[in-house]
Amino acid sequence: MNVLAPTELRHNDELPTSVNRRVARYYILPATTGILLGVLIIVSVILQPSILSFFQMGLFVQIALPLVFVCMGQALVLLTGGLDLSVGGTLAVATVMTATWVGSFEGLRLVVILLLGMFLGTINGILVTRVKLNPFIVTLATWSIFDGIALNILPTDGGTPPMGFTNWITGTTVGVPNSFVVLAVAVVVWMVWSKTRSGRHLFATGSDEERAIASGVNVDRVRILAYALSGTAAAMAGICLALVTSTGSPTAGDGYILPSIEGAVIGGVSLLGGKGGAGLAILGAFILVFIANVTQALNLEPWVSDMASALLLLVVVGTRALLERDGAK
Amino acid sequence: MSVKGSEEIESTNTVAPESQSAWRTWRHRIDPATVAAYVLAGVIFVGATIYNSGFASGGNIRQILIFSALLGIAALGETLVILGGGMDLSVPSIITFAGITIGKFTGPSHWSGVAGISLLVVIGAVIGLVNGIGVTKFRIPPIIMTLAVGGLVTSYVEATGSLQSTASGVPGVVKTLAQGKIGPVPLVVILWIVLAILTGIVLRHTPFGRFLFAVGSNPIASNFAGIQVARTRITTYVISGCASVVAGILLAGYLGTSYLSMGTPYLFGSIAAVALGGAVISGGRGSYWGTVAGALTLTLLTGVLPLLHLNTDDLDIVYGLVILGGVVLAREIGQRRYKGKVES
Repeated sequence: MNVLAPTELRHNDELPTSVNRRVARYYILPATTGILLGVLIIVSVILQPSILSFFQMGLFVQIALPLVFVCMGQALVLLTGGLDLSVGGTLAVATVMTATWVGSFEGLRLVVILLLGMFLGTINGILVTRVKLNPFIVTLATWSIFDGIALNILPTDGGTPPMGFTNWITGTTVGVPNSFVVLAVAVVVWMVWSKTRSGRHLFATGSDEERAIASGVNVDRVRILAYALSGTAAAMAGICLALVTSTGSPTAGDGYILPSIEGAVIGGVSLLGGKGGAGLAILGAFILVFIANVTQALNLEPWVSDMASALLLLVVVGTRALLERDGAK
Repeated sequence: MSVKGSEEIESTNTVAPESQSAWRTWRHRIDPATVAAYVLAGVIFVGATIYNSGFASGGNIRQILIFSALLGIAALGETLVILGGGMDLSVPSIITFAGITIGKFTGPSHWSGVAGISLLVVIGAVIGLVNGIGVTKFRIPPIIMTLAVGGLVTSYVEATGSLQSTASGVPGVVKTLAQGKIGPVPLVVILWIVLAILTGIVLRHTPFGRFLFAVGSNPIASNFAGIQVARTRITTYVISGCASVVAGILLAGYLGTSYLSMGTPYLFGSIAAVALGGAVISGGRGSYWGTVAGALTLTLLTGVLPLLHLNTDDLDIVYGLVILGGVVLAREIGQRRYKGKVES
């Protein structure tokens, strides 16, 4: 794509068809995702103009944060061609630890929870790369194990997360809701990291493993890193969930596993690896949240939202699969 | 490992020629990974019986066999789908759908129940067909396709509003099927054994079975060999839809009630049973007899843990560890066998 200068394209009318297709496919993902989200936002605003206030938007982002983080983590693993079903378990462990672990050094404890999430993710990564087990089975098993750990820590819903942090995430900094700050930090971290060497290795590993190895990428290390970061993101989601709901639920994570895949894929991440990104996964997560929001605003029952998300998933993935098949011809 | 493999071959070479060929044939037919799965189930059962002799009581064994049968039937379709290189996540949704919808066929005569069962099996086949067409013709990854279809089925169940059907809501004929016994053996278990034998024959002795293994291990080569890859895969999803419907109806009949989350444990259970049975999750290797052992192992674990005074949360941890251990074990044993074959 970069090899051809724009002038060359203009001079030769025969050549560009395939190039145009490639360019189109390069931009079609972010474009479709963006348009979809834009339409949903406009519909939401028309239905409930009050959402435009900073307070309402802050509230909205707060509710979306857990899903945003699990989708980001899932996207990293999907990029390397893997799959992480254990995000639900890690999220549950982080939520119950946030809710039960009160006392002094609260900030330090949140850091410890994040590190624990990273550790749990690393276990997945090692089992997938070094023990060479199927990611689906590994994370299915660790999901069960992590769920069991969460239930051991807190058998039933309850507990209170640190008040200071709960107040902070629902509060504002110079008028800007703090949930915006958290989201912005996540976006910036991803945008910077995806441009670095290890960030690009992530895409290289997922799109063509053999070529990545030939180029000197340590694909095993990249994969372990992806799972570790997915664990960290899931732990972050768990912390946010506990803070936003002011309670801990050991079974809360299970409801996030399939939506995490759904959000990442609707956002434009390919299950085959190498395509998409955590940024697109954020958009996908917001599409899911907006669908639920619009359904609620229209006073429709929750099943409408479920059905709409499932249909959207089929339409989006089906269209992309057909587009790619045509492009490959 | 390679050293042990060569030893094995040397020792078989010393056997007399005619018995050697018989042993070779049997060794070829029996998958060591399947044997390992049965050994695992057997060890758990014997261990539990030694620990508490009440574990081997007729009532307890019957209970374990019934729940194994329900899980095994739900995992039948999953086994075929996984053998063909796919994955079916719509199993729990279809189970819930079948369990709840069968409650609408409580007419005055038994024929109403029979009509309900037949209709639901056909609907299950159609759902499977949709899954299969999406995966093969539209090239949607199986996980996404079956996840979305499962979501649609669940939202349909929610939309129709019948979240709970009471005990009287399950047709009599279904209850008879699910709770009845011939002598000491429950009907469900007999049905399971019949289905297992049928599946075993289909996998080993029909063109479909051989095509399925070929498609699962190498779809591109299978295509060149003239196998109808898409048709073979679609068939597995159709069978999976039907099997899930049967499992859902029987579960509702056995429990005497149905609820929105009744299928949920079967997402984990059906895939875990296949994995424990020694199948390769990416396809091409495995057997339904292995899945049978996997279903028995998982159900036995559920029964054993209360004996050891462990809770359900510990069960989750044990499930996970057993699956990891079982998969590693199956792979090591399977690899050793293949290595031996290559060297000989």
